[in-house]
Amino acid sequence: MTTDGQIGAFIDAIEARIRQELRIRCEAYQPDFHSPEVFNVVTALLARQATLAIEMASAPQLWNGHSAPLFLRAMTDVHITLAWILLDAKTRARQYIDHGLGQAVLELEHRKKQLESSDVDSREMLEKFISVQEAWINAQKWSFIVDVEIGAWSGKSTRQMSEEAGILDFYNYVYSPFSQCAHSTWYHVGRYNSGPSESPLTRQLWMPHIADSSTDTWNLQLAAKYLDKTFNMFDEKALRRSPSSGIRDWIGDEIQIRFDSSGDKRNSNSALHKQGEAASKDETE
Amino acid sequence: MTRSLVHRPVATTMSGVSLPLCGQGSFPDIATRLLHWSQDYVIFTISRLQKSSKSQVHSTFFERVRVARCIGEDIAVWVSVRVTITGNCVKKKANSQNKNRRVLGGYKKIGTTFVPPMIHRVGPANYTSWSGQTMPELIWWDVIIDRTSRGFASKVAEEIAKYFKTRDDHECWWAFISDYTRLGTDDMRGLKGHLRQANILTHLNESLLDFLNLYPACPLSKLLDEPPTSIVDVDYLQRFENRMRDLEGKHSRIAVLIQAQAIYMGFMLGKFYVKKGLALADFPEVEKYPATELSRRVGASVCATANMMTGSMLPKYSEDSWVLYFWQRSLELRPLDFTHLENP
Repeated sequence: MTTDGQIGAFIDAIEARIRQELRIRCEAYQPDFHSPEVFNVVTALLARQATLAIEMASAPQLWNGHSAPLFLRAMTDVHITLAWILLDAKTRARQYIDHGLGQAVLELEHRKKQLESSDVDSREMLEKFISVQEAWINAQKWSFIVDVEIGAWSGKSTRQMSEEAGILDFYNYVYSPFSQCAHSTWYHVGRYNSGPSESPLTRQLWMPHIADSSTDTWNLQLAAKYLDKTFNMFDEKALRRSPSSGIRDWIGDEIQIRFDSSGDKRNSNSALHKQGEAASKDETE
Repeated sequence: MTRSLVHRPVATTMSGVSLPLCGQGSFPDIATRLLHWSQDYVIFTISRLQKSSKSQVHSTFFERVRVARCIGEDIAVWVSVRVTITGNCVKKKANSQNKNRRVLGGYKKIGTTFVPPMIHRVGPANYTSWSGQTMPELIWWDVIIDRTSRGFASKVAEEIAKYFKTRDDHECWWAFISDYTRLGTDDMRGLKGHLRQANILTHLNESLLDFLNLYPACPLSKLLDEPPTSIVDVDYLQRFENRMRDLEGKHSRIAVLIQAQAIYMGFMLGKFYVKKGLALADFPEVEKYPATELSRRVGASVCATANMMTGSMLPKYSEDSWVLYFWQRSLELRPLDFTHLENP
């Protein structure tokens, strides 16, 4: 019998482990003041990946086919972005920041437009938002000299970035499948939110439903796997040392130790499990 | 070069450009033409506009003024502005335009990029970060002011300017720390001799010593008779760090005062002139910044002028060896603490 307390302790242990691994890497990474933005971007992305893993780990009710891919897709995105930036960190870190600032300016301009027709009640809140947003941009670069790029931040598709970073398989086997859930395409919706009606008489019609997708620790292991991949890539490309992240193995061991007799095994019937298995077959990762 | 960048345009702004502002319930439609921008111009423009019926002034104009004001304060650029006054008939058209104003309407779309008006009309602007580059270049003035007084800092500026005024073929104003990397042994010996004769070298070195011990490779270390010991005074480091927090805000009092110090060097060297009637002509008022309206105007002009200086007198950030050293050494003095990652 698994108690809430056991799960809570397990989640706390995962978070502590991830935070520790993140700290070790950030401490080891030396900034180059010729282009401090490289440090800023690279460590931020590392922290982002850790955040996604921690957030997912801390919400077992999300370890299912409806929700987990949203996190996992975001994690694959971070991995590809970081991999591509590290190929030419100086140029691409700047590019990454500039794009983000441009997006902030775009939102700012939309809010200013909204302000023109806003009522008295919302005006104050909007003005405050604009002021905060503007200050955030101006602290980095004056908003009125920021280009607004409405295309991809890198000027390339995610597939191209993956190809250049030598992780096309990761894109094909992991990023693309999880993108289906993130974008709610028929690939996902047709499995999780629709299915042929029971009776042959109405078989032409698929019934909307909310598929039963139970909590599956496999999703947690996938999150750990992608975090490992990112940490290991950082070890090799940024720290120039052998990859040393073993969070996935550690989590697997912890599950064995903590829940071996609880019967809390992964649900082999879950649709996502199949999707996850496919992702796990990517041997090139 | 310095004269053409600073002196001429400021004068031109007020005397050489006729602004067609009639001040009779009119409406300015914005266009741009090349004109040097300064805070004075913006204030001048606003004050003229306020004489007209404010309700009839197109809001876009104020938006432009707001933007230009930021530029005037923070970036040395050549900005083009032409203000055309038309009558009420245009106002109607403009109001309807305003209602349908498109987001990023003034931006120029090039491929998937929207280029801001200030860039596509004026050309690329070199962005010099205040906190990243200009502030570390001017920080020694704050060290002196902190350790002694503003009066003593002014005296130092005057004496350095006196020394270089007659023999200087450099374009710099000797306000930035990087300027002192140009000095050879003889030049430095001559400068020290001059400062000694003026009876300020000892006091100057005493005021800089703690700072130079933090940053022993600072070009100003050559002012000392002995190399800095590099022994870090922890209390001073804390004090210095706290001062930097204030200095990071470009418009804080102490930040404006060190920018004013640089302008003062320009005056003293005879490389910078201001036309009577401009805010900068009331330069001594900066001492009261930001307590009085005039001091705020002077302060804004000081910031704008300091920007022009950085644009023409500082090396590119990535080639600014003093600034790169400053940040690297600062990291050694105060290593990043990542414990928060583990102990939120």
